[in-house]
Amino acid sequence: MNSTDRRDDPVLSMETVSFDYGSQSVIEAMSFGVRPGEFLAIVGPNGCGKSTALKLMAGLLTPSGGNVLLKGKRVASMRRRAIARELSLLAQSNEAPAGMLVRDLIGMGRFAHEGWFTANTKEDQRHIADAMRIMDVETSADRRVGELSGGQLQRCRMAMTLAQDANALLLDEPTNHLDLNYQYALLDVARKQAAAGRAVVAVLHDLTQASLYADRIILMDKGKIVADGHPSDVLTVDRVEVVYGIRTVPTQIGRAVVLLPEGALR
Amino acid sequence: MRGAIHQTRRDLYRLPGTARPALIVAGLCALLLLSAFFALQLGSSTLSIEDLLRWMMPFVPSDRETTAIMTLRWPRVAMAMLGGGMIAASGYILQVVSRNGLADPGLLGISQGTMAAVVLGATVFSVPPQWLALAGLGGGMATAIGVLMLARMLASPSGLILVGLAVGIVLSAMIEIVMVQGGILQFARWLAWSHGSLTVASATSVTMVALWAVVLLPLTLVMSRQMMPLLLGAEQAAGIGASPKYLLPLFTLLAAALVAPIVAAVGPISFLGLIGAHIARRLVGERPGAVLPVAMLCGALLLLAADTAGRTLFLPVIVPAGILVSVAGVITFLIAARLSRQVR
Repeated sequence: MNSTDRRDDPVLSMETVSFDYGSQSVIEAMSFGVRPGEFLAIVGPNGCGKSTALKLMAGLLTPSGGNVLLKGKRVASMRRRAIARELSLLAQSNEAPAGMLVRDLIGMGRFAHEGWFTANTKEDQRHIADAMRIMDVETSADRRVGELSGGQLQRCRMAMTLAQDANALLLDEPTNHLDLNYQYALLDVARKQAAAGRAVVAVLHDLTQASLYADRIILMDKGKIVADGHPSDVLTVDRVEVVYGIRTVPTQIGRAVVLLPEGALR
Repeated sequence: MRGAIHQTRRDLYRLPGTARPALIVAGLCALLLLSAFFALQLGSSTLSIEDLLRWMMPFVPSDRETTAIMTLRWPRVAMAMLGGGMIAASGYILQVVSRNGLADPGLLGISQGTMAAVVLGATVFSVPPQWLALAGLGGGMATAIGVLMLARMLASPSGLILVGLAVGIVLSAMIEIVMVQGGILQFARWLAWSHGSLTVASATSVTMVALWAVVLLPLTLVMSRQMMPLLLGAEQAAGIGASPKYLLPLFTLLAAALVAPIVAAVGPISFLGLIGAHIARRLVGERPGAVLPVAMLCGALLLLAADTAGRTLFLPVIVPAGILVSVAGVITFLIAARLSRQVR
C-alpha cells in the first residue's frame, strides 16, 4: 500500500518553498498542494511571483529553500524526462520556428515518452490525434507555424502540452494571444482535463475567468500567498483592494465573481 | 507560370513526412557527385573525360601527367566537400542552440579561437605542423567553453552572441598582431590562410579532416533528435522533457569540434555555415533530422562550387574559396530575404 496511490493525495506540492535572486526574495515560504481532479488558478498583480511559482513547480527553477514534490519525489532530484512524463508545462513564450510543421510541433509533446528506437508509436499517434481534436487544430496539421495567427499557434502549443499526457498540467497565462471565444474554449479544455482526474494549475490574469473555471484560487502578493480557497471566499472586495489597490463593487453571477471598479461605475 | 511553380512547391510540401527530405537528399547527392566529377576535370589544365575516368578506375594505369595533376587536385576537391559539410552542420547546430538564424561558427568566436591557437602555435610555441590542427581544435573548443561560461555568468539569452562577437573581435586582433610580427613572406602566407583558401589542402590534411568527419558527422545525425525541443526555447524544451542545461553546452562543443579541424587545415570559411543552414531550412523545414543532412550536402556543394570557380574563372589569379563564399553569401542572403518577404 503506497501512500502515493491514494487519489486525494496531492500530485504536486510545495513545502515552504522560497526562492530569491541573490538578495532579492521572490517567493517566501510558499506551501500548497494540488490534488488530482483539481483546477487551481494562481492570480495576483504583475511581479507578485506567480510565474516564478509555476516555474518552481515545474522544476525549471531550483528552490533556495524548501521542497517541491511531484508524486512524493523531490522535483529537484528528478531528470527532465521523468518530470515531463508526469507534468506538462505550457510556457508563456509563444515562439516556434516559422518553418516548423504544426504536426511536428504537436508531436514534440511525445518527446519524453519516446525511446531511441520507439518514436511515433501507435500510442504516440493516438495521443497526438486526441490532442489535435480536443484543441480543434486538426485542419492545421500540415500547415507551417509561420502561417498561423498568434491564437492558432497558442492552441497548437496547448495541443502539444495535452499530447504529453501528464498527470499534472501547468499553464502559464494560457489565454494569452487568444480571442475571447478561444479563451473560454481553452479554459473549458483545462476544466475537462481536471474533471478527467488530472491536476491543473493555471496562472491567470482575469479574476472573473479564474472564479468561473477554477475550483480553487490562490491569490498572491509580493511573493506570498494572501489567500487560498474557494473562489468566492478568496476574491473579496477588501483583499482585492489591498492587493490590486482598487476599490471594487462585487457581483456574483452563478459561480463567477465579477469585480467592477468603483471609479468606473460612477 | 509563377503560380505553377508555387503549386509544385506546395505539392512538394504535402509529401508525407520523410519523403520530401529523402527526395531532396537524393537529388543533392547526385548533384554533388556530378559537381565533384567536373571539379576534378576542370582546372588550370583541364583533363579530358577519358583521362579522368581512366584515373578513377582501379587497376587501370594513368599517364604520368594525369597522376601529377590529380595528386594536387583530389585532396582539394575532397577537402571542399568534407569541409563544406562540416561547416554547414556546425552553422545549423549553432543556429538552433542560439535560436538565431544568423549564427555561424565565425559569430561565436569559435573560428577565431581555432585560428588564434594555430597562429600562436606555429609562431610563438613552434608547434610542429602535424600537431597544429589539434592545437587549433583545442583553441576552438576552449573558446566555445569560455564563451558559454561568460554568457552563463551574464545570464541573458541573447548574451551568447554578444559575448561570442566580443571574444571573436579580441581574438582577431591578437591574430593580426602575431601575423604582422613575422616577415613579409610569412605574412602573405597567413593572409591567404586567414581568407580560407583550399590551395593548401593535401592528402595528409584531408585524411585528418576525414577522420574527424567519420566520427562527428554520424554522431551529429544521431543527436539531431535531441535538437528539436531546443527550437522552442529552453523553458518549453525543459517542459517537454529535454535538458537544455546539458544539451546547449554539448551542442556548442559539437559545433566547435565540427569546424575546428577545417579552420586549422584551410582557414576560416565565414558565411558558409550561415548559408548552408539557411538553404537547407528553406528546402525541408525545421526538423533537425532532415535539415542536418541537407545542410551538410548544401555546404559541400557550395564550397566545392566556390573553390572550383575560384581556381578556374579568373586564371591566372586564384581567388580563395573563402572570399567567393562570402560574395555568394551576401547575394544569397539578399535573395533569401526577398523570397521570405514574398512567402509571408
